[in-house]
Amino acid sequence: MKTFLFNPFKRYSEQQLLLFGGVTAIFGVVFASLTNTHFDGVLDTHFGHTVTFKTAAFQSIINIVSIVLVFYPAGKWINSKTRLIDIFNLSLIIKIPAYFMMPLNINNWAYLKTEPLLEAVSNPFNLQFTPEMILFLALSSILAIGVFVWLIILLYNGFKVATNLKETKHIILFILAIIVAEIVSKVLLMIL
Amino acid sequence: MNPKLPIHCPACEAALKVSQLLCESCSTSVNGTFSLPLFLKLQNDEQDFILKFLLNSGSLKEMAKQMNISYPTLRNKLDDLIEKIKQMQTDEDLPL
Repeated sequence: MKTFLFNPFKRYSEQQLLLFGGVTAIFGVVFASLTNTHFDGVLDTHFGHTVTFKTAAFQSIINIVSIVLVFYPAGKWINSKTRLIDIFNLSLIIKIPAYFMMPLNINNWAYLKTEPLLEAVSNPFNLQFTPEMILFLALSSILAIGVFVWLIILLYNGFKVATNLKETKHIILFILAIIVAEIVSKVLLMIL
Repeated sequence: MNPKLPIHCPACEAALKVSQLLCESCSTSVNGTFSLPLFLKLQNDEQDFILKFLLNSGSLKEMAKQMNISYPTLRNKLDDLIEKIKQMQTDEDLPL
């Protein structure tokens, strides 16, 4: 179970990962449009009030392209035997944890809860926190942190299996690749 | 029971050498100082890995299926083993 959740790349073949990753990616796009969830960046999950199927699909494709564009050359530099299919599967699988955030915005629930807070940020002295709001923020923050940690663990393990990375300089490159992939996805979403 | 061939000294961890060989048929023994072949200096699981690789005609994909692990995991294992053998050859200047 631990391998399945945190390092499926170690055990499952590229065909199995591609099938599972592809099905979950389609599910992610459909459910993101139903729950108005934006995956507007490799690491990002934001809630909105209207996300069309086209927008959700576009964001998903940009995230995949950004990861492949950055992590494939990085992987090739670490180990010339790195395969495109392993990096592509990585880009599909690492988004799975973020899909667990989507139920929070069924009927725009999370968006409607957080929108007044965002509007009040310009005047923080007027912020009113009800106990229900504090509980919501605490629980959603815990979930978001858990999802982020899970995503990073999956990304690291997948990249490690794909490239056989071991050295400290390779780990530094991996960290840089995350930052660059995030920037690339943001830039692509902005200009396209 | 098939006892495991010890390759390191249990006291100081240094590599062991063969000092006696025995003919089971006539009990003739040969004494001397012989180095273990490089293959026997590998861990048991590494020897098994090489044997499986050979028996699968070098097909990593077939081996990965049999071992229930992914292709890149197996390829990494092979690369690590190649690196280890190269290092052992460099250290001891030994042929296979």
